[in-house]
Amino acid sequence: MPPVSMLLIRISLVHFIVAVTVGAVVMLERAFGLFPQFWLLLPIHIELAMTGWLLPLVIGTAWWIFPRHLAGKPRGSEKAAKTATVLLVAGIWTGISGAVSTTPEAVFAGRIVLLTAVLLFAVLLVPRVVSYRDRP
Amino acid sequence: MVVQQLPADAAAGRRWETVSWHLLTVGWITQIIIGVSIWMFPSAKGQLRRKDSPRVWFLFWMLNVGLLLRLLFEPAQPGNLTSAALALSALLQWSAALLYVLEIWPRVRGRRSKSDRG
Repeated sequence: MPPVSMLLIRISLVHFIVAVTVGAVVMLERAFGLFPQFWLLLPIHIELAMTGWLLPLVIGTAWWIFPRHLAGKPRGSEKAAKTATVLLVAGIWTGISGAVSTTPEAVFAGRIVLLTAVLLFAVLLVPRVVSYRDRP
Repeated sequence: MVVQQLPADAAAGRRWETVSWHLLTVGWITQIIIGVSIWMFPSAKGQLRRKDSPRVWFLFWMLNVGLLLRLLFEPAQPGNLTSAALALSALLQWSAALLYVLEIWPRVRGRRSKSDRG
């Protein structure tokens, strides 16, 4: 497994355990109703479960498993992939901070950074969506 | 009468919505990810053969029993039994997630060296 994939998958696992822990806290609040302010954690649970857990895992696995280039760097630029990883995490957490503090500007900024990261990964990964089966 | 029923119906609707989201995201997507990653991720360092550990089966049952409790009790009216069942569901699903991370973390690793392959 290449280092970029290891980084992305470990980030997704950390997000997963935080998402499930926050979800369990909110569910305990739903069950016993002791601390209503725990409902404020709900956006963290949703954002980490839907983007923080799934996106890095899917991209990291694709980076590892998609066909490699026949010439040049086998998986493409690692530097660009690491930059996209930083943008991905920054986008997720900026979005979360905006949702928790109810700052729409931060949510919007987070989404733009996240979109930039996804587009950068798309640029890196789309050329690897190939088949070498009919190669002469 | 209808006006009085609306808030209760809306609350019940939201509870069913929460259940359906979790069946989709935990019961389907997350469970597929867990199953496929346990199948195809490299074996842990020093472990030559991939074999399902008891931990994997434990997490499977905890996740699914936790989800089933949620399905049965999340839409139910509040009460002591509902609260206890939801708390147990939260604990089971959280434990299953923790076991999964403990299982898969050592398997997120680079290419096996020649000495590892034996």
